[in-house]
Amino acid sequence: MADERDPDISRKYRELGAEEPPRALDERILAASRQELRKRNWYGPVAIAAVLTLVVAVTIQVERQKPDDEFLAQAPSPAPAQKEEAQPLKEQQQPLKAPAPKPISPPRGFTPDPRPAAPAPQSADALRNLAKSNQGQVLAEPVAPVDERSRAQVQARRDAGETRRMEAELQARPESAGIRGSASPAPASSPQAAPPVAAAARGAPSPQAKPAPEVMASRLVVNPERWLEQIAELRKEGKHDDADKLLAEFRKTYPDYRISDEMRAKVEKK
Amino acid sequence: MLAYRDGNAGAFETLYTRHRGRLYRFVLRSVKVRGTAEELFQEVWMRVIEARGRYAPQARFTTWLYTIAHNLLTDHSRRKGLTLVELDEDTHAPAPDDPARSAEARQALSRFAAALEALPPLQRQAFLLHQEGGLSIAEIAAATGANEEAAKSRLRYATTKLKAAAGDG
Repeated sequence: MADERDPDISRKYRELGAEEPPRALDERILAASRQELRKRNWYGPVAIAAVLTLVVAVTIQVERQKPDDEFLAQAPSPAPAQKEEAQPLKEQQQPLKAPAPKPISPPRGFTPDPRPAAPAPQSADALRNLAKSNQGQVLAEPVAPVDERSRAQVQARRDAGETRRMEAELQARPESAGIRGSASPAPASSPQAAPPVAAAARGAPSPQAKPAPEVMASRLVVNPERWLEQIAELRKEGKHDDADKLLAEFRKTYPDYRISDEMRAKVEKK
Repeated sequence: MLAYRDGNAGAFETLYTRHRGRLYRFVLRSVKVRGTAEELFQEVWMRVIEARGRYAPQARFTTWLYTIAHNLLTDHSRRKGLTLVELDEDTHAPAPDDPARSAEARQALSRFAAALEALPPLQRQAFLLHQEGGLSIAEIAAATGANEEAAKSRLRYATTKLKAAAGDG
């Protein structure tokens, strides 16, 4: 029996020839191998791109939702007094202008909460009337409830603005020196004038402090009732010209102020 | 193959160039029909390409390659209603021409080719795996799913018949 590894048989077998696959077949197979590689190479970058897109989208979404949370945390009870505190000084110096509540624009993507809204800030007139009714108490009550104190502070600021304006006008007219009393000739907007006004505006009494004469004058000017009383006093003393001028000034300053009949009889020329 | 698995297209071309001729002849001489041989040859390489991602070097690449080819040939034979059965060497092996009547070399070669074609499929495959693939007895056994004794026996029978056909027997 022949050996399975017979070299003569191998030689004979080689003599049969060496057929090769056709060239086209080679090309097809090699192309398929390259295509397979391209197909596999396509997966990686696409997977990475998909992951990156997802990460970026989630990050953006998280960033967008952050302000929403802050907004919701602040939304439930915005204190009107705090809003008033935040008013810039420029607005504070426009005393009779109704305070326009600054609308809080919700961030993009925010859906308004159906819960009832927080109480809207009171109108300028309401605040003024409230402050007027409390004027006598503001200085007398060392500790007032937060809301009342805040409203008084707002009114005091407005009055301070009026005070400055009135003082400036009075300074321009020497004949009204009697009303100004011992008011300082320094401009109201100067730093020297500011502290007493600020003290009045704060509405909190300073322990060491009796109000300075300038402050008293400011209050005389600011307080319409006191102003009218002053006019009535001038009438009583027979100084009608001064009374007329002051009355005209009063009406200019408080065009909407309703003078009671009793006071009208005292201040108007008979 | 590992380099190709890792994305090196040149590695596949190297493998293909190295094995294309031998594998093609193995398939061609197994099925004897050129068109079918080309189809099967392409199919073998497609299987290699598809298996790229999961290829693990458990054996020589050559053994793995010829195992795929053998399995495809077996499937092909089954589809055609043929069965690769172990044949008794004495009962069904066609008798080679009488070497005494043919002294010429080309005739001897012709007889050798005829003898190869006439071999029982499993013996022919064992012989071709040994000649074209350079597979050892153990590797032939692994590629064909037989034990080593069976592989050795098939190869020995094939060699004996071919020697007889070539006039050396």
